[in-house]
Amino acid sequence: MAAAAERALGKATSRNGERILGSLAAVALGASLVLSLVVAPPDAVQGEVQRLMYIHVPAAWLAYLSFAVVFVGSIGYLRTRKTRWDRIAGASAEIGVMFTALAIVLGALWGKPVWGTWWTWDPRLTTTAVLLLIYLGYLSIRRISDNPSRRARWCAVVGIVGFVDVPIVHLSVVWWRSLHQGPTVLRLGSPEIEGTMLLALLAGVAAFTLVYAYLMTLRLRVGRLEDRAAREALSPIVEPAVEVEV
Amino acid sequence: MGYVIAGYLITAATLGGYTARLFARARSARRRAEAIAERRRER
Repeated sequence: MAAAAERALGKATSRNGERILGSLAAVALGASLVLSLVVAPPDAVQGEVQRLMYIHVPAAWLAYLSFAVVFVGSIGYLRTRKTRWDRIAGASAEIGVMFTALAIVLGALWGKPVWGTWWTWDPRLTTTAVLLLIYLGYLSIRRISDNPSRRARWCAVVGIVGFVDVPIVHLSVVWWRSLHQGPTVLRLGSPEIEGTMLLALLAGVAAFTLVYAYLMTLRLRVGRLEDRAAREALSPIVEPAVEVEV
Repeated sequence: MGYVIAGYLITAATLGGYTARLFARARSARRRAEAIAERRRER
């Protein structure tokens, strides 16, 4: 099972796999754009501005997925001490921070016309801001320690503990009184959303997932190249042997 | 509609910008490793 997963990861991270993923992601993004801006109808209450949902929600879901991968990678590293797991966790954290920041900015753009404010200390918004800070801290730890194994160990601990905030973010709208709307797709019972809108939303999630997979392969290649450059710089210089005549 | 356009443009700029940055980092790391290896071979 682990060997099959490693083979699949190896294929996906090859240059060919990277190009295929990139092309698939571009096509999926194009299809998602058409579905969300042309095919899906405007919302009956919010009008056109609701179209921000088709990028805001996928960005937030991808942030969850990225941090779940950090969580799995961190456990993998602590169990096996293999650098590959740490590299996967680090790459996913960087991409997750980008998606979290994007979700916050898109949420602010949606909040201004609908709520009348860019930002409010609502439970969902506040826990998401905390999530962003946790993983910015994680990325800072990746930079401060010069001992690679100690750095990987610290990061793995933060990657595991930090993930606790993900279910809190998701359930914050259920647990506390919130200005943010409750779950419409991931909820008990059937989704509370019109069919075409649901299709556009799922297309957005699929497209963003492909973008994530593509960015991961690219980011892992960058990690390998940077490690190689660091190894080259640190490896001791072997002087040519000098023959001494006696 | 202005908010929607701004949102889609910000998303495109973020994803495109991050991808471009990763390509630049890969190029720079490869060049750095090759330059160090080259200097070692010259010694």
